[in-house]
Amino acid sequence: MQRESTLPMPSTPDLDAVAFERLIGENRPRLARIARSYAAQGEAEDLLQEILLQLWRAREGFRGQAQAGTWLYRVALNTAISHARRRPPPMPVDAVEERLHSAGDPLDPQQLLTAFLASLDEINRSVLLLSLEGLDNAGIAEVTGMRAGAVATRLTRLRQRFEQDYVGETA
Amino acid sequence: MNWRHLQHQWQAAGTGAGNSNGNGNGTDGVMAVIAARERALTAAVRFRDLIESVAALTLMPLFSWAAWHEGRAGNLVSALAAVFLVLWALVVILMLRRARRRLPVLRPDTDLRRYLLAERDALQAQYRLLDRILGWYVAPCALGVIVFFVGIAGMGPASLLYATLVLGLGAGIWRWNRHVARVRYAPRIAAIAREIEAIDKE
Repeated sequence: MQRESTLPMPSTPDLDAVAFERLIGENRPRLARIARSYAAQGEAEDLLQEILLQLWRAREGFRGQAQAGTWLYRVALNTAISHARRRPPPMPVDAVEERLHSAGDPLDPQQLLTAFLASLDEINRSVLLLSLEGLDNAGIAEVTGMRAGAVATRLTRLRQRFEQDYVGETA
Repeated sequence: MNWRHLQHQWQAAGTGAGNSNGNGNGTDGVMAVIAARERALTAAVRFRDLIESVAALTLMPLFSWAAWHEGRAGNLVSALAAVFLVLWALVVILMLRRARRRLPVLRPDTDLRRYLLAERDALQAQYRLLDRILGWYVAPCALGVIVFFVGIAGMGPASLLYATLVLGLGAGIWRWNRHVARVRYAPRIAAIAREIEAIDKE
């Protein structure tokens, strides 16, 4: 499978319907991952559609290729976090682990990562998610409004917590 | 655990939502999906505006006529109460429209922190509107209709019963709106405050 290390973007800064559709087509997998990370089971498609609507409505703020990644992630995350606020709080880490073990699921890193993301509050989840999507600290800071230093500290803690709480047990 | 390897795996992973073109929501259907949601949203806004307008269009002509009728009959108390109710209905409509216009504009392409601040301000404005409904909606309306009725029926058991019913209904509306403010809006405002605090923590 292809790795999306850089955001594919249309070359023109004007987002008419055709350019918008191309932009969405090229970035749909990452938008879908964000939707799935914030939506309750069975609601990911609905959240994805809401994100698409908000992106279309925010197209006047699109400043072309250079800012496209920030624009896309900002709209997607803001929409997803508002959506997530209307559902029950995240599951505690212990409960997630217990459920994974009791279900007899194979504990591969991707599943653990998904479970770990689900156990985080919205802000920590957004920071880790953006890091997984390949954004550097400055990029994450631009999307979230945090300072880059704070992003770095938070990411270090989150990775340590993931490795201690999840990977440590299965290693 | 190699974090870069995890990133690779994450970005390559299938996602379920939004990857299928078979359900009509694939790349080709993006604009159709957006158009459908826009239509639904527009319809909801129009319905809300229609409800407001219908309430105004029913109340205002009714009490305008009542003011004219009672004035001609020499019943100044009821005529003034009817005028008061017409003005109140007008003020409520204008106030709701102004409040909606003054709500902070939510721009989803701003950074998360700014978006949360705007979202919190918008929710707080809606919370205040519901929490203070006694002053701008329930009390003036109840006062107007009670005085109007008393002006016609005079002081007596019928007016007392009517006033009791109106005050009871008003109290119910007041309590329900405050309940909605506390149950629907307050937790969301508190959640946003926690999110802003989490961003500002380090």
